Amino acid sequence: MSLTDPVVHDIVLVGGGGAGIRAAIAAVEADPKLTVAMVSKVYPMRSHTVSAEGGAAGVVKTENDSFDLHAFDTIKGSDFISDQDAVEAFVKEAPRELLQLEHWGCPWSRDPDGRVATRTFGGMSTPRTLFAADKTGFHMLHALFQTSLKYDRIVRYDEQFVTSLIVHDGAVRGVTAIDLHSGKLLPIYGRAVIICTGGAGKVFPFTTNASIKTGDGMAMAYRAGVPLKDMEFVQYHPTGLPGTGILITEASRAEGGYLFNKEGDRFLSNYVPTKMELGPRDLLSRAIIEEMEAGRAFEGKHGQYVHLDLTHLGEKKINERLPFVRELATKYVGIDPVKQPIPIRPVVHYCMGGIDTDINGATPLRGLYAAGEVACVSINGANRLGSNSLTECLVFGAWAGKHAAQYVRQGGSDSSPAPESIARDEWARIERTYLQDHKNGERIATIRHEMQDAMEKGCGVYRNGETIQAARDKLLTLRERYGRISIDDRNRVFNTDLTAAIELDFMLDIALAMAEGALRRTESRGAHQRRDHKGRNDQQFLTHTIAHRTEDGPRLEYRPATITRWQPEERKY
Amino acid sequence: MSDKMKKLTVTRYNPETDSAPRTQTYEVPYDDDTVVLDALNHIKDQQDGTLTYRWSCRMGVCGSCGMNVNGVPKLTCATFLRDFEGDITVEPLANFPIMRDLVVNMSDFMEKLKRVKPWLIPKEEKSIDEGEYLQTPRQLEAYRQFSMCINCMLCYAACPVYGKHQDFLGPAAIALGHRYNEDSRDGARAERNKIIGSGEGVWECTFVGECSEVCPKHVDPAAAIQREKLANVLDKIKSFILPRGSSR
Amino acid sequence: MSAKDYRVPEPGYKDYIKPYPELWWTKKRPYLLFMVREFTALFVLLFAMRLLQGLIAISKGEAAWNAWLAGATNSVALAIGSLFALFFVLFHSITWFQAGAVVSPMRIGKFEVPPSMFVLGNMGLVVAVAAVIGYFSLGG
Repeated sequence: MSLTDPVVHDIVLVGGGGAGIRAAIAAVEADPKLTVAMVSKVYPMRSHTVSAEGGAAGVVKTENDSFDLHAFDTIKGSDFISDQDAVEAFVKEAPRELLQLEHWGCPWSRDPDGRVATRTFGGMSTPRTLFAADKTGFHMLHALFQTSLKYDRIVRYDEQFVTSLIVHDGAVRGVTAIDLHSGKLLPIYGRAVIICTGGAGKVFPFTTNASIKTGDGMAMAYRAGVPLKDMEFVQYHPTGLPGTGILITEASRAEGGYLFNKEGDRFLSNYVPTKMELGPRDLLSRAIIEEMEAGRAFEGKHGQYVHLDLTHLGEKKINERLPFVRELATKYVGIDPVKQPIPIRPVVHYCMGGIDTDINGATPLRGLYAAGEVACVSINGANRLGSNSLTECLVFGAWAGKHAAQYVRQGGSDSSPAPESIARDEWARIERTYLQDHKNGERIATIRHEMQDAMEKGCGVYRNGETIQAARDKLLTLRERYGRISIDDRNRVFNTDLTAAIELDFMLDIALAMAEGALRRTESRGAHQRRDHKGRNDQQFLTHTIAHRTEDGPRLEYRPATITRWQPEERKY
Repeated sequence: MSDKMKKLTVTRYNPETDSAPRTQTYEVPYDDDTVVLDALNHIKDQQDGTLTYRWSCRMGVCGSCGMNVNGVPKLTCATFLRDFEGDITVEPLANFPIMRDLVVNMSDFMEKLKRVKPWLIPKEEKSIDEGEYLQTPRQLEAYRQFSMCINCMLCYAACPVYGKHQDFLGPAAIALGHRYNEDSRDGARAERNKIIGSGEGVWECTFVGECSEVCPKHVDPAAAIQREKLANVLDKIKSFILPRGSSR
Repeated sequence: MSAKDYRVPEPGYKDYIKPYPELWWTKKRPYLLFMVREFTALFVLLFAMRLLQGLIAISKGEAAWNAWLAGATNSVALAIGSLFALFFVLFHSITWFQAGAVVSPMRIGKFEVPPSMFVLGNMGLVVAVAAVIGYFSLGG
């Protein structure tokens, strides 16, 4: 009754953002017969790639730049736990992907001679970041989405909320999805599944991330037995608007913006003297927090902040290069950056960690691939450099699509079809957990807010053993309380109360993996800074954290990071 | 949040129990920073989890949260409560079928978007190894404005022509077709204009101009449509004078 | 195979489709203004037809022309009608140029002509042409 007839495709793709659409196009181009189901809980052009602003990095211009330089910047930025073989492969493919996007119509900003323009991003040693004014993600996503429309073999399942992976005989066979329009459960079978659902910034209260970024894909894979990697590394972007957490792009510093404290000092000279405003994000966010703790920040109704000053850039440059920054600051904090400095503070932005994949996007589960923020290859290690993530979506999205297509061509996961009972059981679970009469249970918003609060306290810019432990304990209680929730909405059609409850379930798993990873990494590296364990410990922790899900919480293992040509050194800028 | 309170009258429609939409009034606290979307989130979290609407980025770029606020199509994440005297009415975007409460069915647009072929069809194919297609800042400027459409559907909700004739391609779809027509790298205007220049295309438009008034990204779809009309007429004249090879 | 083939079967629940109001143009001020603008075209048409009559009269010879002229200059109703027509023609042409400024924005070198200047310039042109015609038709 509440199950729809199943549909069958060659590849089932979950998520329709930058990585997902790139993967879909790569897959259908790799094999002229194959069909891809692109399943997304929102219309693809709503995906969070749309909010990326500053740019996408790649050595498109070889004057004063090289693959080695891009690789080294990325590795140093990662605080030396990115896998160097993956980084090298990534930087070599990057320019090709950026040009591919140009050929698909992306309106990259241009130099007067008609070539694509570049700007210098934080932690990058030369201008190698392509951009489309300050709406790069928006333009990339729409160019990708509109291009995808010409492929009839990419079949969209818009507004279908995926609840679980269908796994049988040690291989993934598809997904179960709630069709929001009918409220029924739709089994979508395939011979390979690619997950491109993005990060999980919404486990924190103050984030640049959209409401849809609830770590669904990570949690689904985690539950299907796939480990999560490096989850303790969560990037704080140094410049978000107080109150809303709206992102003010790094491009505003790339174009020449300054950071000032209350005393009018460009305080970064005390922290990253050679790079100043173009230092990497982890160091800048820490510098701002230090200024706040030293009482050198401004005090406002949404807490402390410092100033990002663009006034010296002039109206023309701001309009040309940073129009969106101007629009956002004017609209949301009532400040015109042409005339006044913008109040900013660090804000949760990006998950370096994610589903454990290799360079091809393959996970340890047969037939399952992942790419984009949801995956951890890892090229980002302990701290991602700004403008590497959009390129990561393209490069690894394309590879995941291509390799999934290859896997399908070689037979895929179809030795024996998955029993129908899997989807039936999933519907029964959803009905039992959420739609039957649970009276006077807790509201999901209460649990969500307490989870976010715990994560901010325990896994912020600076952490220490006690606070992480407290967050972890809190999360375990919340996990237990989650069993007694009740939702208001028991209807079928477009039940966003139900999907929010399932998202919260996903987020609790993710948050716990983050806290556990943070607790056990007794060192400070990149975005993970412990006040009780200062400094890097290369002897013990030149490793990736691998988290397996168990009923009693995450079980952690460690795997050495791949180091090829660049030995770890002190990270100074 | 301060103690100031505001009344929101919201359209409710549950296809499982209702035969027609009704309204429900909620009261929410607000301050100078509160947008209509925040108010809806407050209701959903604290008062009534059944209230249904779309949202995502909360920074005016994903295009999910369009609704009619006091009768005017708006992005609710960029519409502040402080700007309204008295109570506020929140309705689903006009001119679309209502799926539930404030959620409209926009599959019609998704079909139409595809029909205008909104992808680059290059004048002359170039391989990636040969590098990028060159495009000067000025050539970019010629279509940039029309590439800013976030598909939020506000223009369709403001367009009386679309309200009366659902077969009209509509402002956003035509603006996006125009965006590629004006792109110096593209060479498929003639192909695209089979649909844009048809009876369901630009000639349905009577130039009310409200689409451009409500557009939150200043895309100016009305201008795009009128320019396509002009280009179509010139094309017709050209093909009349020069029957062959008149594709500009 | 097209995207449609795979679509999920239509759900059992129906979207609500609101009937579009017949008097839609009374619902909003901009819509009303639009209808007024469209309506002014009627006066432009009437005035043009009257002129056309005059032209036909010329072709029929002096007597017919004089008769038309007498009719045109001696009727109070026609004078009032013409005043109305003039007003509406002005309204129509200003809004027409406003639209024109949007449709084909003007550039002189690097300078982008603002819409207000475009409208003023064109209206100036209209007045100048009218003055020249007036000067000659009123016998210099």
